Amino acid sequence: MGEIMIGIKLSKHKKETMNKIEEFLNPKEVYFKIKENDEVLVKENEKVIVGQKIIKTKYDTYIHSSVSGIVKEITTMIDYQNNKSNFIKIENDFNETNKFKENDLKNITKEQFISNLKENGIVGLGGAGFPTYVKYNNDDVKTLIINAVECEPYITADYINCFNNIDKIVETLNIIDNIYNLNEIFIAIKTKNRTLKEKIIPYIIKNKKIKLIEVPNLYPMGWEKALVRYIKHTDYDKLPIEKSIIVSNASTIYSIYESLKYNKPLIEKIVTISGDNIINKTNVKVKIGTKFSELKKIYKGYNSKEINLVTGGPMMGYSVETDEFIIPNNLNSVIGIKKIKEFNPITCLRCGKCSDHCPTKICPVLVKDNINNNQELKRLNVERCIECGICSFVCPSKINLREYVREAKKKVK
Amino acid sequence: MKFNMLKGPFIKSKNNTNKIMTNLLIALIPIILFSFYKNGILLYQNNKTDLFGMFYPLIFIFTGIITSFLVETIYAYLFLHLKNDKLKDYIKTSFSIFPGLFVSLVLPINTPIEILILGCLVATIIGKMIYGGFGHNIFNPALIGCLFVLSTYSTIISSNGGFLNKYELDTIGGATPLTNAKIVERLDYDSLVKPYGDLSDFFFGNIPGTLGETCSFLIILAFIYLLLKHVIKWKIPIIYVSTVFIMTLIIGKINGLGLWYPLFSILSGGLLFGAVFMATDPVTSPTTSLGQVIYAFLLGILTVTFRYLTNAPEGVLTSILTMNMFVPLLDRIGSSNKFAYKKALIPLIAIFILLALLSINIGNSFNTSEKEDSNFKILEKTNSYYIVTEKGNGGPIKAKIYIDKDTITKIEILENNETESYYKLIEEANYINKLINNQKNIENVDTVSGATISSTALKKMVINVLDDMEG
Repeated sequence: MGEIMIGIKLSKHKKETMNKIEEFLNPKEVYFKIKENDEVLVKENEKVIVGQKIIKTKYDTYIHSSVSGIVKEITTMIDYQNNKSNFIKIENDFNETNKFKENDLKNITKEQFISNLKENGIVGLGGAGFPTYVKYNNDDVKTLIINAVECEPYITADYINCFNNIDKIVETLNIIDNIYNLNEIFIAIKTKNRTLKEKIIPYIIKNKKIKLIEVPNLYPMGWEKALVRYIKHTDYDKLPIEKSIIVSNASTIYSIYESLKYNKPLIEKIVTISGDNIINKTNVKVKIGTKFSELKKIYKGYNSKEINLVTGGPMMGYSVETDEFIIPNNLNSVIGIKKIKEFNPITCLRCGKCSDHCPTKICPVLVKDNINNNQELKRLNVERCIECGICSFVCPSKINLREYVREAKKKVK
Repeated sequence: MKFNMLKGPFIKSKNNTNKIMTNLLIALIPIILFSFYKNGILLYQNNKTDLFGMFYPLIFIFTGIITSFLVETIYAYLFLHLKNDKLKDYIKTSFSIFPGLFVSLVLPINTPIEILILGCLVATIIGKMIYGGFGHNIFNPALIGCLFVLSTYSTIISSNGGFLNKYELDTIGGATPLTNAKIVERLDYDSLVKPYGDLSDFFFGNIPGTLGETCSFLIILAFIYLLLKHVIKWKIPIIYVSTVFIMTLIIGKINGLGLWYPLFSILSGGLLFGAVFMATDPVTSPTTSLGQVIYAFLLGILTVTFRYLTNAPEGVLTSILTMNMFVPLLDRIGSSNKFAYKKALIPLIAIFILLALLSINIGNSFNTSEKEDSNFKILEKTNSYYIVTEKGNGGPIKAKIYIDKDTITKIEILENNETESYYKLIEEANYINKLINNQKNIENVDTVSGATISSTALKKMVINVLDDMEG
């Protein structure tokens, strides 16, 4: 099918946070969401140490306490999607001792590798939060694509992680290569990102399988399907593994490194805090489960009294009604944008821009027309929607087409 | 601290419907000004009109705009019960000036102003409002208005001079190039293009036509502007015009005509204006890419078909209104085939076959009629006589026809290669005198049996000379 590049240019807003990283690793308390079918492994008032398993998920992987402390009651908190959910609260006793010791990584087998990822709760850090061991638990893996594209505006968490830890990332890639005997490894970065490119090149020169790929600066180029299409000129139906391809986020690879080398579970991550309305725009390394408002010490509060706080990127993110939400393992950024004018939608002009730009080839305008006709909605393949928001972005009549397609997706399920 | 809750995405493109409509208006300004020059300033300079007449084209267009604006506002007030701020918001987003603007641009300057107003009324109410207003109409409102005017009041318009302004009536006389092409029923450069100058006159708009349609150059510029501003569904005009070009190229080639013929075909009859401004009306054209492609191909095929196979020269208007009806179907095809490219080939191949077959068929139909008809030639013409030839049975017949005040007084055969026995029959029937005596009722003069071809040739000479004198 060739390289059909569908996407839009967005202004990046990345400069302010590109070279900045701070740490906030001593939250007073941390919270872990209990999802459906999760098994809680600790009791109230139990003492836990950092890295201890506290929840077993439905995928047989674990969530670990990110601090040492005492398990408190189960409380209702707001998650990053602004839903009220049950969380286990752990109070930090600030008695954390670094117990992570270095492992010998020579001759590691695939079974050891998979069980390590499973035990340490490594999940994809690109946004979906899908357990990484499931992805890698395949015999037929030929191509590995490292996604360092980060196509949403504002977010630089992957960039800074990749920039600071490229040596460790490449070391991990070599380990994975040894296990799977891959044909090729691609590191996908945005074109015109010269500093990152020059930083990466010396590290990958030794392994000829690793290639640096520059992808166009378009949204949603960081979407798995777009990346596979661009790099490998092929399409898959549901998962890239159908074509023997695995796509992993660059930060995920770094957490695999920590997991393999130090047996360190996924308890920390980098979050970008940016936007016009944030006083100190920065990247910050936090303990997973930290309440966002605790980070005020780092980001210093807001520029105005009325703000929009968005978790995730401005295209796919969610509005939250409070800054007391909990940072989960799959959240990359929090953006404070000035109060934006509410867009008043007007009648559809039928210009067809939404259909032209949709990366999954859906016709949102027709979805909107047929929203009450389930049979027609099925024919329009609404289930393919990745909710990238381009249709709503480009619409000159300011109609929020993504909401229509979301509704349609629910209807055909 | 107050946190606002909004539905994402939290950034939106700067483009909006207002900007799109403003750009459309900007693209039309040079065309409006040209029409002002051609139908107003030029007339004034040549003393064909007074100062009011000079500004009349602008008044004409403005009347169209104001009418459809007022009609829609009053309609919204009376029937949608909108008042004050709500009415203001409605007006801001209903783009009510466009139907009237386009109606005034697709009508000739000779349309009486009250008929223009009626046309705008029909365009706004029947073309737009009864479907629920902006964004809901099935047919292009302006073309509905235009169709109404042309089908109801065409006699009034043609008695006012038809599609020619006062200056053109004196310099060109006759009809628009396409109507002319219908009348002459002959395909050659001299009768199609020459009466109006050359192809550059077609390109720069020095030909008769409606207010907006004549200057192809400015329309192409407007298209480029709209393309760069991402306003227009660009596939439609490009494919539409190309289809007409290719089909008329085939028709021309079959009849041994040069490249001028397809160029003449796309530069006349308001094709470019229709393709750029009417066929791309977002509301009434497909939203899917493949839908637009099929829509445009069929528009081209229909336009050529209407132009050659029916008597209406308004092929563009009729084709667009016809295709408007199929937009939902085309969008259905377009949205299904987005996921299966190979399936998309089936309708496209069918269209190409249709296109080729139709072109060849139309081309051949001209070929036969040309053999019969086009041998009459005027060799010399003065106030008192014509020297003409026409093909007879054995070769050309050459005759000197004496005239006096629009009547034929004497016919002298200068040359004939007819078989003697046949020619004798004509002489015996006193056929030439019969023709002269019955020239007012020439169609009823019977041909000479046994010498049909020769007598028909003579009759044709007389008919053509009479036509030419009236001419």
